Amino acid sequence: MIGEELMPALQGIVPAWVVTTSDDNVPNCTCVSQVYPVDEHHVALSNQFFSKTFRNLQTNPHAMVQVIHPADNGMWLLEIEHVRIESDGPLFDEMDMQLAAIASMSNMEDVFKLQSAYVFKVHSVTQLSEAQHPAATL
Amino acid sequence: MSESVFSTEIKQQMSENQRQIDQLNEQLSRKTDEIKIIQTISSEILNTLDLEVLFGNIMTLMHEVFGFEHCMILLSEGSLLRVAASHGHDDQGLGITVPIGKGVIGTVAQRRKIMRMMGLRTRRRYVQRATGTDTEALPTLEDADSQIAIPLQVKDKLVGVYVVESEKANAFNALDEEILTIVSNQVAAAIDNAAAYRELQQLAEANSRFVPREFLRLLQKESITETELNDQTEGKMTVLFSDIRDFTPLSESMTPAEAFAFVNDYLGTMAPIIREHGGFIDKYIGDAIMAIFPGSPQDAVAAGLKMEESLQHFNQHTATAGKPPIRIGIGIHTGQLVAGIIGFADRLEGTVIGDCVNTASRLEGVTKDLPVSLLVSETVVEELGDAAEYAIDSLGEVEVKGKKEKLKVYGIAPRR
Repeated sequence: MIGEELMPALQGIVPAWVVTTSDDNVPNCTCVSQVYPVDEHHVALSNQFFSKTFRNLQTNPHAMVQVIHPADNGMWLLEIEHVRIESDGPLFDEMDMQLAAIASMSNMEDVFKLQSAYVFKVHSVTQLSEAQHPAATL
Repeated sequence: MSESVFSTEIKQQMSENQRQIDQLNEQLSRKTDEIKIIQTISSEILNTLDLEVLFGNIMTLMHEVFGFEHCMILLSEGSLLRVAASHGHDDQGLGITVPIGKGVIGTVAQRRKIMRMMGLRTRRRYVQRATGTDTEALPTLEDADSQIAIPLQVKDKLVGVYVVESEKANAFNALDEEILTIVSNQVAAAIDNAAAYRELQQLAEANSRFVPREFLRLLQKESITETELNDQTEGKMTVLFSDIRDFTPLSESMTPAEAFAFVNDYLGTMAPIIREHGGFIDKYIGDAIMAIFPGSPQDAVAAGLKMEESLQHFNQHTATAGKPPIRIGIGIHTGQLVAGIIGFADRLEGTVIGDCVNTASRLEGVTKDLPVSLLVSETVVEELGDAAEYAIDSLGEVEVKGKKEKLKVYGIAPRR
């Protein structure tokens, strides 16, 4: 589902937007620095601070992510579902290492610590064009 | 109509096939390039132990074959990494250090894992905004936006970090990581090889100060590692013994450290003279020197006379420091000697053995009782080719321990 053509959009070059909803259906939109590719069917988000996004995911695991391709600024919409939390293992280590590398440039490696990696199953990937309304493709 | 749909489908299929063929060809050519570069680098590593040259060649190759325009190699130095080589940077940045654990490079060194980091600019801005602090400038391109850093390891030892960077935001993919992983193993091995070689050279250098090269040459050995117990060679050589007269009472007026410094000063004056005259020092015995001259006895005599001359300068020099002048005795004898390795198992020593050594030592001892400081045996006098150069005085005969016949001795001085 996640093909080679989407990979550049999952490198944290352009920030991504994540939309979740609370248990009383109030949507929340937030900007994240990177949506990490995990495998062909999974992506991950880093949980550094326990924000509203992660609170919302406890009650409603479904979310939408919009990522931007750095080459053409093309927008891609991913329909995702939170499936598990990882706080060790190769994925966690890789994400933690990236965060540590950037944070240590500001001596913030003790502040910016990865709490856990939120892993999501990807249900659909849609390339958006101006003519399309996102809802129409879902 | 249906025919045209059919032909459109065929055309589409053909172009899709062609696309796949192109893709496979591209992969194949990349694989071929990989093998080529690995072979080239392997042979480079075998052929050069000069890291500077090796790094330059590797980085140039990586640029030419894979298009890695900007590279750096940092070597680990305790808790730091130091830029040892760079390619494609305006400012080479050589010598700049990165603490382990800082930034992409430092974190890669700390965690011993490859990292491909893209969108560096955005990410740094993100942290800057969030924390209100500036991110530290690290040795990178002014505007690096993508980096791959890979630890250079030999077994569990970190020897450095290889960095590839680009000002493009999305410069590298998983394939680049693969290539760098392969190459980095080779680079790490090269660094380790070069370090081992350098260490070996230093060791050989250190060894040569304890066992002189000339001694090994006598045994027809290239290195001390080739020597074994009982290795020996026999030949006619000249032995020179020298000693400071009455050094014990003199040294009692000094602290041990002062005495040490004094002896080293003295030996520092005398030792080069031995070498300059084609001899080598077999051993120091306190303030005494035992030197071997494998060539002509004339070498030893010339060295002995020069030592006497230098002693005067030495005394003038120490007089300014309030020290009394010293006198030395020198004995020289020529004869058959065995040079070899003696000792047992874990404590060996290269030395010369022979009656000739005892005689030279005895001659040196006799100078105490005679009005000369340089005494040679009759054998030496006989061997001196052009004796006209020297004023030679017969000083009679002395007894040598263990010898029935007395030994004729001669004082020797340059003819003025």
